[in-house]
Amino acid sequence: MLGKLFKYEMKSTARMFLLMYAAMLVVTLVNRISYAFLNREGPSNWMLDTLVGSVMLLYILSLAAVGILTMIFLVLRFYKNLIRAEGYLMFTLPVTPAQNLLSKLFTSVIWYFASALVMLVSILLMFPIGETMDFLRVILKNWGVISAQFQQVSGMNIYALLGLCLLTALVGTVTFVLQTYAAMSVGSLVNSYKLVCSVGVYIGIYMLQQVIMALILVGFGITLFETDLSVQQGFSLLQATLWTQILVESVLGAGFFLASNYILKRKLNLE
Amino acid sequence: MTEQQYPIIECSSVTKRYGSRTALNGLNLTLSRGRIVGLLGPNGSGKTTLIKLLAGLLVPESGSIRVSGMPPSVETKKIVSYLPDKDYLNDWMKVTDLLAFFADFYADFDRQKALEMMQRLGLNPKDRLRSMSKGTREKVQLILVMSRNAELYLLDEPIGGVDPAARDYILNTIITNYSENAAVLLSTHLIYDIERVLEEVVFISNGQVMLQSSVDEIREQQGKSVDGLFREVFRC
Repeated sequence: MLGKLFKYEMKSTARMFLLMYAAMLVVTLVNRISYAFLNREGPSNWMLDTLVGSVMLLYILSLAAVGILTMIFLVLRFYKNLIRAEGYLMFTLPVTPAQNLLSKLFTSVIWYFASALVMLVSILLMFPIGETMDFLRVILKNWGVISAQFQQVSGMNIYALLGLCLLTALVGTVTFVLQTYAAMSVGSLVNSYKLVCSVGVYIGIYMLQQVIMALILVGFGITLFETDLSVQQGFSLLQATLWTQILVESVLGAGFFLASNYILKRKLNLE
Repeated sequence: MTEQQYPIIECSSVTKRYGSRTALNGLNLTLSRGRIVGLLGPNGSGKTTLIKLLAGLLVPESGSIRVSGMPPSVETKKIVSYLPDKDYLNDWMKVTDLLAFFADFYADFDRQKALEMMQRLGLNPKDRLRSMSKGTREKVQLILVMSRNAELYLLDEPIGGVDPAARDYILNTIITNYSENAAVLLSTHLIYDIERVLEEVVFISNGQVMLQSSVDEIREQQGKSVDGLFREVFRC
């Protein structure tokens, strides 16, 4: 059943996201073409320059919009599909609330990463494609040397560091999504202004989380103000910070999941 | 006992509160299979709350609820077909998408039956829900719900928004579509329109069952219609 829920969740959200990604691609290409006019030969033309500048501004705003809209789409999807009228359908299917939560969590994480990838690709497309390829080719060719050098300077395996960064991003995304779900679940308990309350709950949880994280880091003796560190110490500090963050966020994420599941299972009150 | 020997619904001392307001107050109710039962009561008497509890959308503060001998759960949701009194379907979907959705999640969904009913009521399965009128959407919802071969149909105000002609067809659909192993519990305040299909009625008031009786009994022993009795009992 989880597989079926996931399939419908992807299907229901795909239209919005694919449309948004297509629009981003168009804006990227338009900007790429318009940018080429900046490097043209000949006398300056303020009208053309203003136009190129405006297109660039539009591009940067679009890039930010992809990030913001991804969040808005996914938050509203959860709210509309589980907290509002569509909840009557979703919570009377022969599935558990946990399966509903998980299918939405998986889908959301996939879209957040897809949006990040689209933004990255869009930025890469801003550079001349030939040069980007050459750059990548040089890196790949000398990868052995680069990773050995990195190991020597930082005292850390480059794959281990990349893996750790990816894990931090994954755990961070999962916890972020679950935090929005927990906030909306708590917000659903009030009779009116559910969405406003959800935002309030989210901000509350966020502030609490920041305080806890800061206390833990200070507790471990990790502060940002340590200046006389060697490069190797710096990297082990980074590693320790990331692991602490992963640990704390995993615990918080589990808490958010259990809280949301409890509310949706026992305290749900659809209008 | 096999499952089918359990009454389809057993509620004992069920209490449900919303904050300080008590919606159901120690309600007791047992219903057997093979009947169409009207759940009747004034506004705010607890009809929708009872149906939502049976559908597994709410959890009572105290008391026990059994559907075919089981507490509301994934297992009961497999055999309960529920129609809320809301527009609850994803409105960007086409009717064909909804048919696929129901067929995917409910093993007892009969797509052929649904298509036949839609054709009969002049609905085009290619239409999107969004482009339909409120009454047409209600028809679609009811058809989807009645096309399951469920053991318990919970219909909350099933005919509120549809025209009288379609109303007759829908009522006939309800009568002819459930097997003797199944039961239909429907809430309404349009008693007059629905009376002819009811076999049993449950009057509910202030969160408690006031009266449970077969329709024949009301007609023969009291010499009244259900509508007449309702008006008498709940006179303002």
